[in-house]
Amino acid sequence: MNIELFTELNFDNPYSEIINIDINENLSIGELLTELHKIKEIPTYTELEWDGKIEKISCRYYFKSEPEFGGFSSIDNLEQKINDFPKKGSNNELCIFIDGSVGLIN
Amino acid sequence: MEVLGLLTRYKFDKNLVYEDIISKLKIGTNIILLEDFPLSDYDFQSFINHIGTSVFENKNNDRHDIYDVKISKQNDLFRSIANSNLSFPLHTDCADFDVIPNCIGLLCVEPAIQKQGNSTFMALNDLLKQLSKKQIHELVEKKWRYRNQSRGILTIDSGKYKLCYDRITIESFSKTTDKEKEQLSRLDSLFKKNSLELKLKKGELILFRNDLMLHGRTEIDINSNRLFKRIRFNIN
Repeated sequence: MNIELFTELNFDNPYSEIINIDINENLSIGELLTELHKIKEIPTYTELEWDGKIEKISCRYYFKSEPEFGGFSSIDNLEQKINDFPKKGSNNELCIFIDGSVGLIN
Repeated sequence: MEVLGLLTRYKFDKNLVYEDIISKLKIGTNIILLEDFPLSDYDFQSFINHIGTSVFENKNNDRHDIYDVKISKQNDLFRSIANSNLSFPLHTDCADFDVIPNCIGLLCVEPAIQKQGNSTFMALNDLLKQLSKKQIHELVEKKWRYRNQSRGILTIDSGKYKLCYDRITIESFSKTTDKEKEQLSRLDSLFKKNSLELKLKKGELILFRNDLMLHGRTEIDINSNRLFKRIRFNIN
């Protein structure tokens, strides 16, 4: 299946790429995200320096749920099946945003 | 209405005068606390709509403007600092945003037990009283990196000082020297010395200025059910 992937939401200069993944859509969205992390070598966490220690904060995952550019909703249940998610990408692919930035940290 | 130090208390009822709250927030020196506030997202959002314009973020509840601050993990890692059980030092929210929202509302739906999860605050006015002119000048002039933004801890806007500080963002996304770390530690001590701690009860809503006050939180037990609802907004 094709996935439209965003790793940053830049409203001035939107950039996504199409990734083809051979995966059964009855599997969980968590398994798809693991594949995306592997293929694109995206870290699954951000390291924050916190009170003299390093703490790891998980990436946040979103799927496109509305037609407009920023219309993403949070993926809260990684066990949910891939085919439960709407395909609202540019060419009707499943559109995923993996966010590892600090902007949404707190 | 009851004023106690930094805190101005109201009862939430039909006689509440929104303009009074707006004018207090515009002055920005006090934390507004409303007792007996309803616990629903609908009531919280409706209330904020009377006094300001809330900020939307994709991660918010049901793609609206409220975010549930509670302990929450994904892939066995905390989803954010706010979603951890760890103490959260005094900071400004959204320090790396292009435009930083100037107010925050936090509604206590479920407090942590005993002395855990207390909210902490430090007012810019109290800080300025502790600083010399030279120190103020240094805090204005020295810029710190907040991911893609470069900002002074103090800025002057229309002749008034504003405050922006988030050490976690500074240190996590840029290299700081030992000298800078010492500077930050001295500032943290000063902030802490001037801070106050509040234990919110169920149904208490606090409103405060994000650009005139730092806020934080003490540690919480990992199994705590503490739940605060948060809206970031700009005052009307």
